Amino acid sequence: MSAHIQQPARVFVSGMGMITPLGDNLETSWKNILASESCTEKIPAHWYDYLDFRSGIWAPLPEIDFMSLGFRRAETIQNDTSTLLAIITTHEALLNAGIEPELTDKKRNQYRLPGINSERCSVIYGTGSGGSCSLLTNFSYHAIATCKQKLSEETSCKDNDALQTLYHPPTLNPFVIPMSICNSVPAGIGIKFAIHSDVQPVVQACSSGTTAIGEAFKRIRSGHADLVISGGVEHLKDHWGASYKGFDLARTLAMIPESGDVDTANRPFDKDRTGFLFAQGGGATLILESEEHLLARGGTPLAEVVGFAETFDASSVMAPEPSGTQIERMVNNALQSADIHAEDIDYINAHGTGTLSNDKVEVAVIERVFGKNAAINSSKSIIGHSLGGSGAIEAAICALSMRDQVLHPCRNLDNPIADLDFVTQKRKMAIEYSFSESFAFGGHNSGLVLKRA
Amino acid sequence: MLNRETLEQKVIDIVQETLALETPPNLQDSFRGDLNADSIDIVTLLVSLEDELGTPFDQNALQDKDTLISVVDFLDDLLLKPEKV
Repeated sequence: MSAHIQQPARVFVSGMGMITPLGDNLETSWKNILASESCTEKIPAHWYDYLDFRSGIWAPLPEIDFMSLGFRRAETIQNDTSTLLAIITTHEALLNAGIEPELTDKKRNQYRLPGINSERCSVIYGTGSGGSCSLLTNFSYHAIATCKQKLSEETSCKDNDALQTLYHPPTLNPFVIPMSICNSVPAGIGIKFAIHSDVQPVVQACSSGTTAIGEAFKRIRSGHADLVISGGVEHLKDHWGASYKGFDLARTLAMIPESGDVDTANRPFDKDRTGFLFAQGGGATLILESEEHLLARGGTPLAEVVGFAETFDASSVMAPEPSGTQIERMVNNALQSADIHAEDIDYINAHGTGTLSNDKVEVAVIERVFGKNAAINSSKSIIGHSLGGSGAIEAAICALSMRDQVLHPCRNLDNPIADLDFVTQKRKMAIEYSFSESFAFGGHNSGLVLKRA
Repeated sequence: MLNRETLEQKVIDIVQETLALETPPNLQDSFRGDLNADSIDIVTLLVSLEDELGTPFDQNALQDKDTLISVVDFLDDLLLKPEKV
């Protein structure tokens, strides 16, 4: 009996869903990103009741009424907003893939995926901080509630304005631990859609989404799954601006220019860049399927995932290693994984945060590996940085760019830091291969190669 | 205005919503026996009631209450009795 060598499965993106500061769904986000709309606003005024801020701008998400989207009150009690956002984009992605979830358990509001073997279906999903805002909010009750009650009973404190700023929720939520842990995001998706194979979080800060899709690609390519729900999400809005303050304190956020025009503050790859635009959150879900599975159920491929690689700097928890050696190795490994050469890449969706150190190192690596052969943009220049959600959003933007053969501009890029092919106006062009890369606090570097379907 | 009648209706509504019941429950129904509620349902019910009534309760308040009417009586004592004094 001769040995049978199984060929690696081809892996396709068959459905996508997205929430960004510019839209609560995929096509609205994409339309507004292509139009380079602005979403930069000043941070909530009451955050200044607690501390001062260096940056003072952010990109808020659209208001989302979870109950009107079909969630039950119990789900909003038991899940952090990050999980709910991931479920919304997953639902959109499934519908986009032609898979209409079917309600099977009214009390749990649980669905099954008709025609999909749930034991061959996985969830591999990225998040940077999971439900950390739920933990913060509940901790505020723990730390403040009793003291505030005592102070409010003191006659001298009764009408004290400062006392009123001591915010805490009315009670502790008994679900705070399952809400807060990072695996609650993929678990929430797995429960909602009754998935029974492996359900895994990828917790890797700003490269979480990219690496989650890469791991999903590997899982299908090796034959260990037929379909994987993958992507990334983040939601970092708390009552005090505490999560925001962490990034502000680290001097990573974009500053308002002297002109006072907040719209021009966020400018990746520009000589006058000062940091990144913090997004309240957002994310994207991509449905990845083997070619055999996709064809068998009559699905439509949106893009093909052909390569992935990941390396680690082992240098600093906060800044990229200055030589970019491990980023360059990641890029070359991803190209090798896709069995293509650097000159085959038409488009690079850069990490492009707008911090001094990121852009400097990233541009140097692009110059060394790709030169001026590939068009470059930064989606963060338009929608800000949604951290653990950003890599998935950017992979979806690569797929949309190849679908529509058009690139969005790099917003506010007036004086590029290098002589490369940056996209400064919406550009129609032939795109066969695209590359999306993400780097993260900790020192993670990951990149995906996608091909036009 | 919250009174005994509106309180009963709120409890019925929240229990129906939390347990996804097709029809409104009776005040005499047992959570575990008649309505098939588990411990997670009971905890969720507690938080839903706190949310709806805008008042925190003792976290163990509902653990020994097995009927809707016993919950209504508990909330009546907590929320309405002080006004009657």
